Amino acid sequence: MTIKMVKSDKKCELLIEGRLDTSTSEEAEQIFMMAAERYETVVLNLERMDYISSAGLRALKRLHITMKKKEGEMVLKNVNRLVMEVFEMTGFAGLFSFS
Amino acid sequence: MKTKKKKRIVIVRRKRKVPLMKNGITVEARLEKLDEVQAFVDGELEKNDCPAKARYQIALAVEEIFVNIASYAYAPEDGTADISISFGGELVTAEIVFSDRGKPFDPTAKEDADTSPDALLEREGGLGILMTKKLMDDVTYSRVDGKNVLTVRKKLGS
Repeated sequence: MTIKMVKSDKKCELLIEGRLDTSTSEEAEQIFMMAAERYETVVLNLERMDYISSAGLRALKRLHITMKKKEGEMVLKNVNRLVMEVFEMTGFAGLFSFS
Repeated sequence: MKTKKKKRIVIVRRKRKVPLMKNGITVEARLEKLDEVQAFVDGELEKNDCPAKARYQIALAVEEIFVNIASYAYAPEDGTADISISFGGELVTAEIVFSDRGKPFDPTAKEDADTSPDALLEREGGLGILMTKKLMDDVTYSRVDGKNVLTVRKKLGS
């Protein structure tokens, strides 16, 4: 997994490539939290994320909660079909914001 | 010439009738072994021409199940897990069996996790088994000779 960061003034976009799973979610969460501290909106571009397990879902959920607490927002975009199916079967499709 | 050609056809048919082998590995039940387990299962699926979507879904279920075993079955002690895979049936079905000698635990016994937005925010856990049940066609648990045996089946389809 690699995460590329594109920043603007109050918004930051993270392009996640590869897998968000048991072995990568901890590192991803550290980057998410860094972004959450500095920005009001964190956009996750999932165009190149091809796999997410429950460990990855937990990392996304923690970012979502952190952003809500500071009255900011986490937005997901370009979610591929297989990953969207995972969001749907676990209920996260109804919790997260998509653009 | 004609007889030779016929013979060749017969040989091909025989090859197809040979039952596919059941293959397995034994690994330490530790998170670091997840890659090895996934590579083993995925390699077997690839050999059996499993379509990409089913490979992805099985990889996910394997991660959820193995992480559960590695995290809870023996903790804080160490132990091993056996993972085997076989294929059969007319609509080819993959059957993957996970067994460990850890504490008795039936992941299928719990009610499905509540997936409403409020419940998702309040609780952690329960998602792995929920995903496994939804991704696989069949998930069964049994306790046999001091072992937890979790069997998942998935029709490979298209």
